[in-house]
Amino acid sequence: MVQTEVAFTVADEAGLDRVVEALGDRYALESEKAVRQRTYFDTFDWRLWRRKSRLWLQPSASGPQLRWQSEGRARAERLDLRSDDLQTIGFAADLPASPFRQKLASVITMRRLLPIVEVKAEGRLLRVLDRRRKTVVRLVAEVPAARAPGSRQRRRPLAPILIVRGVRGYPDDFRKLVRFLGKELGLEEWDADEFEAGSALGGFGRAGEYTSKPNVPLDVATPADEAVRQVLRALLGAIEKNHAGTVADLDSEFLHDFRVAVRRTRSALSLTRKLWPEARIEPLRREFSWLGKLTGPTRDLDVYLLELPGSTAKLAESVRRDLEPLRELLEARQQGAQRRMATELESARYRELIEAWRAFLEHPPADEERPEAAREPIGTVASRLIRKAHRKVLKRGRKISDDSPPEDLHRLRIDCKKLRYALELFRTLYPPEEIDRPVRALKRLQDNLGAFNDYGIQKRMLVGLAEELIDADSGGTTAVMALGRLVGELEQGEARERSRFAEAFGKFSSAKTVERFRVMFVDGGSE
Amino acid sequence: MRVLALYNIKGGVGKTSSAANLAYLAAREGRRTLLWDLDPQGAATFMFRVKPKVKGGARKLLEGGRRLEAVIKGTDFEDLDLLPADFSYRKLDLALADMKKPARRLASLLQALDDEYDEVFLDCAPSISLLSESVFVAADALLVPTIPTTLSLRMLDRLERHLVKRRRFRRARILPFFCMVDCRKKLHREITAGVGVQPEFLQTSVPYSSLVEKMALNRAPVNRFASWSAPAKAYEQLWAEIRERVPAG
Repeated sequence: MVQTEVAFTVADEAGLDRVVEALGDRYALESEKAVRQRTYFDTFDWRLWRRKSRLWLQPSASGPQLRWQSEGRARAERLDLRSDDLQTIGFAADLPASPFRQKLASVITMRRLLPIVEVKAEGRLLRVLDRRRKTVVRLVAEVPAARAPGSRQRRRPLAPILIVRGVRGYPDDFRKLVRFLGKELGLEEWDADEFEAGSALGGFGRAGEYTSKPNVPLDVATPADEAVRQVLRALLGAIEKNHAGTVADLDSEFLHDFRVAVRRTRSALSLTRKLWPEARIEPLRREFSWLGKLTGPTRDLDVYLLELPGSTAKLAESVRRDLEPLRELLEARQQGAQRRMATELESARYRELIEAWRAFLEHPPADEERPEAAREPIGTVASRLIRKAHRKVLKRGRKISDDSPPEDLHRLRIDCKKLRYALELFRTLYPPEEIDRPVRALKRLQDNLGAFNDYGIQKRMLVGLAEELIDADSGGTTAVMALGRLVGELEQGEARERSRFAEAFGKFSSAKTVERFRVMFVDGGSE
Repeated sequence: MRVLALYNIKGGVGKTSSAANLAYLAAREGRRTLLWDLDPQGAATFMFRVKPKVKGGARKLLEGGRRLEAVIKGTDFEDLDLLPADFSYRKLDLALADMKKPARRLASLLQALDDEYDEVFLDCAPSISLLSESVFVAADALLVPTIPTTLSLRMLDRLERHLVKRRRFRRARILPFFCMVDCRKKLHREITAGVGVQPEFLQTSVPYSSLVEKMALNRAPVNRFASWSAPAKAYEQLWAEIRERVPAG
């Protein structure tokens, strides 16, 4: 595709005026004042930015519009909105039904759109005319300024910019003008963009800064306790970054990421118990266990609500309507659980835990306090821990037959999780293409065990809710009958996953996969 | 993509002015808009300062492919592009007659632009021909500017009967509206009042104004250089009504 837009950067406003003057000496120009205003949005984990796309709200003659410029598209897609109230832009489901919404939903899924930065640019729209006084190239000379969306702060000026836009059917005029600006006036092409430049103003860090999977590169030779502390510090960062969004319940994924970081912290502590002085670590482990339990109920309800549309998809439309009271009940419960959790997360107990934890990570124990294992290189310790966790999974899994009770699979699921955390915790110590295979093999087994477990939990929870639904003001009885259908679906799913277990575990415990683990996590010495 | 044709068997009823103003209003809202000047006289092309020249002429253009995209020109107004007229368009009918399924030709040409434009306006030549049949098939609606006279209404009636008889034309809705209405003329007042209640008529009438004639001089739509004026206000209302009546394709 022919390039039809080029942007140049100019040092300051006076420089921009000089460029416009030089253009006027050479070309016939029409000039008018132009103001451009945009409020950019993205999710907390920068899903749009990662796809090299931008989403913004802008005023227009026909009312506010949401515009979405995705990579490789010549022009932004648009969606007309009724209101430009920032509060009304949140989840994809809140937007007017349209192909635009559908596509956006597939990218942001359950995440909320957060206002990141507001840019207002004042300047001039210049049209370059040919001999017939026909517009053949458009130029925008403007000085953009940015501030936090919805705030009343003074805008912070960004570098002035000169955008050259080709007019369709006049490619030669465009090329000549670009050459004039670049070669003769010596302007430099603009390579940043205003979204990135102003992204930190939204209060969610810079574009791309947050990722739900922090990667801490470790060195095999680092003493084991120091290496693990590096990972734990990154996890503490993730806990803190997600805290505000979790308390405010911006979307379900803040809590999810918060919990993942807490769980990883806990499993890292339990895996590496022998690396720390017990007296210092035990109280912290107890408090983290409290934090894990505290956030559990809300997350469970979040999951039910997120999965409800999927698990009822197969039911008839009328049955789904009958289940409406169930959704309302779940929502009410979620809100209650969220409120209770938020109070605890703002309590002194929480703050004290975080402070004590930070102190522990920043002030390593004195040398004489350090256990022997703490001084070993992390490379040796990691392989040993992974081998041990792997053996445990194999041992328990091999004992499971078609007649084994669900509790046995539950225990195996926990062992798998521990192995998975060990692999994730130390993954940077191993070549990426090699560690991925054992992780994938494990993940398939985990998916099976996880789905089996989720069906069971959902089933039990629904049965528990039945009594409450009967007492509902209206539609209680029909809702319970519909719920019966849903429980039936879940039972089928549960049985299906159970029947697939043997194959999933068979693959994981195959000679080939076991050998791969052996080679990868070589036994370096005695244990 | 929504395809709207400005059509009337008669000439001089305000087709080009209406096409230009409506297309301008659509583009001003940020709709990606294409105006196709199908009239070999090229009035719309002239108004938008584009050379009335299509490389290869009518026959080549109808063959489709990338040719159509290559001849489109941007105008002085953002989001508004023009497919210019060419004098060879007077032979469009002959060229169409040589092709397979001539009545579907225009529709399939426009199909190729579906990704690029939200709105397409067809400024048709005054006649009833193979080309107009092709327009009837391609358009989501025929916007028929009508001067409020007895003869005009009779022509409108004929057109409606012609379209209703032919199954493949039934998709296009006929939306007439009064244009060049002169309130000083008793007949105009009586006729506009009389048909105002007919449901298929668009409720907005565009008044006669010398400003509309100035469009060719100013090389811009009335809504651009005299947005305060009565005809500009009427076009705005008319566009809102059309948007409502014809669902976006």
